[in-house]
Amino acid sequence: MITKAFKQGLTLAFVLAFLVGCSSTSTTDSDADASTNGVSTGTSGSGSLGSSDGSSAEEQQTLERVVYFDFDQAVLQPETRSILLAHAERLRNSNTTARLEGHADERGSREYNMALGERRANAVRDFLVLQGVSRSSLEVVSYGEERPAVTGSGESVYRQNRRVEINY
Amino acid sequence: MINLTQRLSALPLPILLSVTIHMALVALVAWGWDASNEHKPRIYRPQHIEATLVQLEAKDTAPEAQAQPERQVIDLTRQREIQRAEEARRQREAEARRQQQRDREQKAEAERKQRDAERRRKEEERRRAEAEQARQQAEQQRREEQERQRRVDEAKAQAEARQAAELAASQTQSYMAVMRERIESNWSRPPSARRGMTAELLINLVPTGQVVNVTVVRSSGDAAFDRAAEQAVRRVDRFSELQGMPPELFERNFRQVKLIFSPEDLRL
Amino acid sequence: MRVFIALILCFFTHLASAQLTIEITRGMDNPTRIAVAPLGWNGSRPLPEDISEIVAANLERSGQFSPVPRSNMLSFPTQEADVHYRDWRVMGTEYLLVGNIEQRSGRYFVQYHLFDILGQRKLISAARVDGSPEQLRDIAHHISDRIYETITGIRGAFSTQILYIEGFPGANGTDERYRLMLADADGGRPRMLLESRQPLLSPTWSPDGRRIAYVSFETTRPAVFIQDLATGEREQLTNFTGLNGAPTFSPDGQKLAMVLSKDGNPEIYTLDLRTRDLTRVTNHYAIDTEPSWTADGEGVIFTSNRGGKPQIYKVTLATGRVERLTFDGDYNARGRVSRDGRTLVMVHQRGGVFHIAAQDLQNGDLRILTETNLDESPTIAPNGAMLLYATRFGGKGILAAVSLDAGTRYRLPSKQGNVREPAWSPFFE
Repeated sequence: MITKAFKQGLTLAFVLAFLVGCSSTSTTDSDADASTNGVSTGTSGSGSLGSSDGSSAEEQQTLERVVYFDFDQAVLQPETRSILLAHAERLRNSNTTARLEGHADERGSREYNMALGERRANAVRDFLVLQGVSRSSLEVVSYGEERPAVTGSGESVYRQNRRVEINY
Repeated sequence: MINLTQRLSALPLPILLSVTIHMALVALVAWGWDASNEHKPRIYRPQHIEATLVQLEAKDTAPEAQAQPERQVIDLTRQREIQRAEEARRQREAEARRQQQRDREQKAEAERKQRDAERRRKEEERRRAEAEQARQQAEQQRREEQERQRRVDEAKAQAEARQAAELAASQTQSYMAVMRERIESNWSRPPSARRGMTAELLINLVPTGQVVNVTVVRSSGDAAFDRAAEQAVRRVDRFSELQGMPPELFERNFRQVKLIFSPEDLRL
Repeated sequence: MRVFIALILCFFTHLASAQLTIEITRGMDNPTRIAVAPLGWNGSRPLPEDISEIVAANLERSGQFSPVPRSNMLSFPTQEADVHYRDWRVMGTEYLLVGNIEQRSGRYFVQYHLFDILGQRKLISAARVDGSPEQLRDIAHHISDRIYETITGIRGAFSTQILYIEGFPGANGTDERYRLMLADADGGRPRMLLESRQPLLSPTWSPDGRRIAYVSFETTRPAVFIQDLATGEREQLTNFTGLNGAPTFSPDGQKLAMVLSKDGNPEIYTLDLRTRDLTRVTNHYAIDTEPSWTADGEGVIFTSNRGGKPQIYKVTLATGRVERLTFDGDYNARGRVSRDGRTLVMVHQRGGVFHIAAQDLQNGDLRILTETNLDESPTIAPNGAMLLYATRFGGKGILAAVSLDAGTRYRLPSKQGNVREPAWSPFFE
């Protein structure tokens, strides 16, 4: 049961998170990633969510790049929508391509997890395409369970590995 | 016939004598009684020369006649001869009559004796019959007694036999259980073993429990399964627990034993 | 008196009329005690490999044998004349391997006998095997195969090989280097076939053991590669968008089944290796992946979540008819069928734990084989006796083996990196 107060608190938390995200604090990096991390500097910070109160151009570029999923699910969580909308905004307004990398936690069989990772990445792609991003600017790759963000076992670890990373 | 002879030999002496005399008499009469020369005529002078009819008298006056002296001999020779002949005749007749008398008496005697003998014999028979009966009764009783005793013995033997049989049966069961356990703990199933496989083996034992022969009489269809069953028996090698078995039980049941290997505990 | 006897016999009728019969319905499956006597060797220097020890280790790993420790052997016979059955019998030994090895012109020649101690006869008489110095382990595996087959009736798989992936973690703990490895079935003599900084997965053998196929991310996208073991020649077979994965050879070696999502969705395809014709096998919006072939080559087993959660299905290639095979548990994936077509092994999740399970394809019985957690990638030995799989132990990825009746298990010696994705070779004819 989510009380009204809780909902309000959550919204506040998200707004704050965006503010934080728009500021200069570092996000969790997936270091073993071969792809370049850098957020393209070409993107402008105009018109995005919550950026009207004077956040700098660099701060605007570091969006949350990772969206998470439930076990054996490729369904976008409601709370990830706002992240993706931000990315959709960015992609619509530029010529950059993004690589959507899907992942899964270590449980289950490897090739199935490959397919699951791809499903997740596809879910993100489809959402972005719905937001007007051109399909050709999105590349989908799945690493299955091969490239975990965090090693180890247990739900706290697994939860961090069931993800799609948006890399530019 | 035998009985007759037995009877004869048991007859008393008088009867025997009487019969003999009769036989002799018959023989004499049959062949004639001859006044033979060796028979010396007795010369006797009766007191009266007149020829009178001789009365049939039982008494015998011959010896008295003999005692007469020899005085009047000379002129009465012919008379004397006639008298003598007459006398002889009279004597003969008297003798004959006497003899007849004697015969009659003897016959009566004999008959009496015979009747006695008969009576005695009958008595004897009766006595014997009674004795026989008594003996048979005794015999009967003895047999009944024996029979009764035998039935009692039989019942006891039956009960004992039943007990022995039950004991033997339960002993057999427990020896079988021991054998089963020894084999089970040595039966290692091969990887190809599957539920439903069955192999039948025949083993020969000696009283020490030593296995002296193992053969597969019905294969499971899988050579490794059969071999593993044989191997289980070979690993046991000697059912040493069987040494304490009564020998007749061993001979009856354990010389040759059939083993059926039919696993129920396989996962596959 | 006669009556007594008659009565006694009457009571014995139920035992005496039929033969005394004992039913044995259980066993103890104690491993067979075998003594592998050290081979006689007249060389001046010790041999680089102890053949008898390798044979004993092989036989012990199979779970069927319990080798007599060398220290317990009263004597080391090297020829038949030295074998006295009674001495070995007293120790409880059931079988005895005796032999000798000599070197001639640089090559090793072995002669050996196998004695049945309880039956007091020879099962293998003066068998011979020879090899080069590098083949000493192969000689040991060959002898192990012969012993195993003679006693169990099943062909030995000691001379087979395994493929596996070894990942080397970087500083942060996730793998940054990947190697495709080839080793003996006992994990011995590992050699590297390929190394990459990108993920490698799904190695698989061709039925003749000459070629392998696998998935490599070296092009930054997953692609199916095929490689000849003898020559090292390799070729990229696919380059489609989306998934290219899970290759498996058909039983006749002519085709490769795989998963491709080029048409928008992960589906099963078969690729004819000669004509390079691609045939689509499944057509469903769900995830269909991890194909493997049925023993007769007429169907393909695959994982699909078309029913909501991953389960194993079978498609008949001729008709396209799909039927579901697994109904137990929440998650069944990565199915592999045994060569005799009787058993399906898979990753099986129950109560949140991932085990390896075996399902009897005839009666549907399911057996959980492993007690470990996070088990994956089951692969069956060509003789059907054992199954290798990947699991974690001591914080590392290792390979473990279990028999199909779950009665025997062992772990392969752990390697430097995280070992996973084993694939058991076929018999090398």
